[in-house]
Amino acid sequence: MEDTRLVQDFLGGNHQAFNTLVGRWQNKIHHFAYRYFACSDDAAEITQKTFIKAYQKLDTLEDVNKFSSWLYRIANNLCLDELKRVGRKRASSYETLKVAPQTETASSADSEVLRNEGLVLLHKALLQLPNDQRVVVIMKEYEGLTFPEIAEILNEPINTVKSRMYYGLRALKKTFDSWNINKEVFNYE
Amino acid sequence: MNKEEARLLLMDYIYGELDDAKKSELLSFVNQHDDLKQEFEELTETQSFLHHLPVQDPAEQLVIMEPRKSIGEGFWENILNALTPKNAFAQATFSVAVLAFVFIVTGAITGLNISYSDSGVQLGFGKVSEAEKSFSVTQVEQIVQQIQRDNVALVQQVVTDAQEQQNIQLEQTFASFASYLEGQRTNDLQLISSGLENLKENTFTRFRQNEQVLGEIIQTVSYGN
Repeated sequence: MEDTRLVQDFLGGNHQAFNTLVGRWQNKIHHFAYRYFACSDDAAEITQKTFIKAYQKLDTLEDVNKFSSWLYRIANNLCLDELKRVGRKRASSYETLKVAPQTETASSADSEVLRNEGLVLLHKALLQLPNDQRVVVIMKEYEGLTFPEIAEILNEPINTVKSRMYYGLRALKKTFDSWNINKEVFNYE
Repeated sequence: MNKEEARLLLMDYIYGELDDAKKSELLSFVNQHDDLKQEFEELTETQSFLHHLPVQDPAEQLVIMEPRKSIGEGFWENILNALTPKNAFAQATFSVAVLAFVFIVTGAITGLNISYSDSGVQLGFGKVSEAEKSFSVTQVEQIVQQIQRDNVALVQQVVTDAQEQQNIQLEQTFASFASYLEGQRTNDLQLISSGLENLKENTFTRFRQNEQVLGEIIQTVSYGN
């Protein structure tokens, strides 16, 4: 069943339709928030808040065909609110990103360590982007949204979104270079 | 096409959102500019790194909505939500208005009666009997006698207090006068003692002067002979 139909069912009084929507979208919203904050607890909290707000405000959605954009907009606004609320505290919590524990055998240990360190640095690099660039990179790279969809969610012109994506990638490139992250870090067997 | 436009189109190209016509035009333009070609390769490589970032799924469904409340409850909630103002000042005003309304309705039902006179505010429920406004002759006589007794007692108390106050002031006056006389006597004795002391000193000085003069006369007479 399509999202549009589920939204209409919910607005018609079928609350179970909303639970189906939650099941369908919670992973995506959770991924989005997780990449925003690099913290599972924060991602879960943002996801819950997003669906609670959606539940309360779904009757204000003007075009039911735009449910996904509307949901991402709620999640993005909640992420921005959270950043404003505990921005400084969160900045220090980024430092707690650690390399995952090693359980590999000796033969592949070196490449695995290298890869894990690379992933941590990758996440740190993403967190260092300005918020407006980071959200575009996350939506484009990980959520697979098109530029027109991102522009609609953020309520910005398409060229502005593309520009942020461009400068976001440039900034990431610069960071990767300064941290010596190259394709050899990830290309291992 | 200029370089800025090419950079934006490059984003479309990297993510497969560019149609074939534009793609050819872009690639042709990029091939003519080495700096753009370099950027294109760098951004493509950077974008390829981002794929490796892992993510975590939530362990369970994070939100489960309960069935909505009955139609009646929803109806009243909607009415309350519609009536309740959103900002703090409006909510305070609304609360005062509701309280006033409840007070008026309750007063109307219970027959609340509020009256105000020189003697104060009177509250009552239902019909309030009119207070008595006149006294009988016996009551007046009793009141007058009571007032007279109170007056006598009051005057006696005032006189007694005045006498006590007078006695205290008189004692204080005598004590002050005695103290004054004692001071005067002491001063006089000191003056007399001082005068005698001066007289004694003058007499001693005269004696010495006389002896000195006599000594000079004796010496003169002796050398003369």
